[in-house]
Amino acid sequence: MDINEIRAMDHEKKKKIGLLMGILCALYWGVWYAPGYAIYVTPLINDLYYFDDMGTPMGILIDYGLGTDVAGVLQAVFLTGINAIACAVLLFIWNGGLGKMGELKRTLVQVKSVTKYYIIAGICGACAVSGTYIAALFLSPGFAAIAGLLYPIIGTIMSVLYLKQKVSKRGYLAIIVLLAGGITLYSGSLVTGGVDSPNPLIGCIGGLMAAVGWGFEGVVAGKALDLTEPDIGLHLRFIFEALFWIIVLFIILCCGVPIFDTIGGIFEPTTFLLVLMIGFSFAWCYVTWYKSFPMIGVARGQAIASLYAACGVIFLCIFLGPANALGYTDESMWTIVGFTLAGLVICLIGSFLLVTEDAENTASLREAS
Amino acid sequence: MMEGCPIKFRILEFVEDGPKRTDEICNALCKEYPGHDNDYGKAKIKYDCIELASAGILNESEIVVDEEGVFQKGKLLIKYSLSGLGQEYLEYLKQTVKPQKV
Repeated sequence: MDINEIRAMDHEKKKKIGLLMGILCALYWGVWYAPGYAIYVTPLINDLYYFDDMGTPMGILIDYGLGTDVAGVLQAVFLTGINAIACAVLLFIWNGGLGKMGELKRTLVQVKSVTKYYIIAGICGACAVSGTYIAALFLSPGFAAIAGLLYPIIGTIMSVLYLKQKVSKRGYLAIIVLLAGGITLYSGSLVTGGVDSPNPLIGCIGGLMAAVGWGFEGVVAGKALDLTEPDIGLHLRFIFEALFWIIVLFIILCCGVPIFDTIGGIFEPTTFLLVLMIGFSFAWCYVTWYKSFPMIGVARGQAIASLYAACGVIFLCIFLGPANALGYTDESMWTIVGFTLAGLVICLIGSFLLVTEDAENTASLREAS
Repeated sequence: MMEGCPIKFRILEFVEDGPKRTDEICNALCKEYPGHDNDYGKAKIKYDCIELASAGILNESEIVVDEEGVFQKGKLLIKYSLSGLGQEYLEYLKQTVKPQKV
């Protein structure tokens, strides 16, 4: 076989690995939605703030005297903190198993050169995950998903301007189609029912936090990933996010808010299993997300990972049933199901465009210098 | 200067004085990093080189198939050198890296 043919095969293999990582990220992200929402009914989260059968706000945070808006935000902060700590702990098993603990230590001490980027990525991620929970709570899970889906736009713009990564015309087209597909998926519920929220502004701020947070995280992490291993980078990012939330939660506690009153509930078997599932699915989602960036670039990696919207719908339909997952009534069923199916088809077209892109476009993510 | 630092830092420094082939890089660096002097450790270093080349930090040249099995039989042996971006990154690292005791 000719050496150029072998090289072309090598580039094709590299592109396939990158895309496979992006698709696996979308799958794990989609799976995460099931335990991510189920955990709301466990005493660990529910006892902090919930509505009773009459629609009256209840819970420890309400009893303490907080308003519903503040209680909702603090509940999201607490849940995001649990999520980050679970991921950081579980990733020690992952990197320990891969024999990368030495590399973790070597990278951790290089604060001035690379670790500072992971501190910023951790804070951007903290902003994004808490934002998506806030948007889901104050508006709707559908709106949260759509807002989150806007992150590849910021990621793409910044990866081209700041990281100087090149994106082909076909790459841009695939990114636009994938985003349109994801947004169509969740548009049905907004078109039929609109949003019934006492404070939609907080929900919109949460949505903005999700889009900006994830967009900037990808770019900042992409910069550091030029010089470090993805497995190490994402672990550092989760360690810093966990530390950030621990500090925030202790500040809240020092202000007298009983934020840790339900923490004992984490050892209840069902809750513990859900926390483990959240940790594993979110941690592996990030493992694959970060691994896709060096192979196909931040823009393509984020775009293919936005298939999480489609995977989320599918997994929620499997675990909760179509009516609960999509939130339709008899009147709105055909509109919502129609939008969902149309979104899934558009997502497939976007994926096809990205998968069939010439591998030479991704052979090097930057112009030769 | 980069001994005991993250492996990608060391790869950049290792190819600073001229292009080096996959087997040269992996065989030399695997001895510097504990637990890497085996097939798995060498494969990890090789993957780091692939990622650096993908990012445009290393340039690839003189590609041959390892028919004699000097490193991994049937796989490509690639000569890597620093790109312009790689030079910039190396200068940046020299100014910011925290040297480690080896």
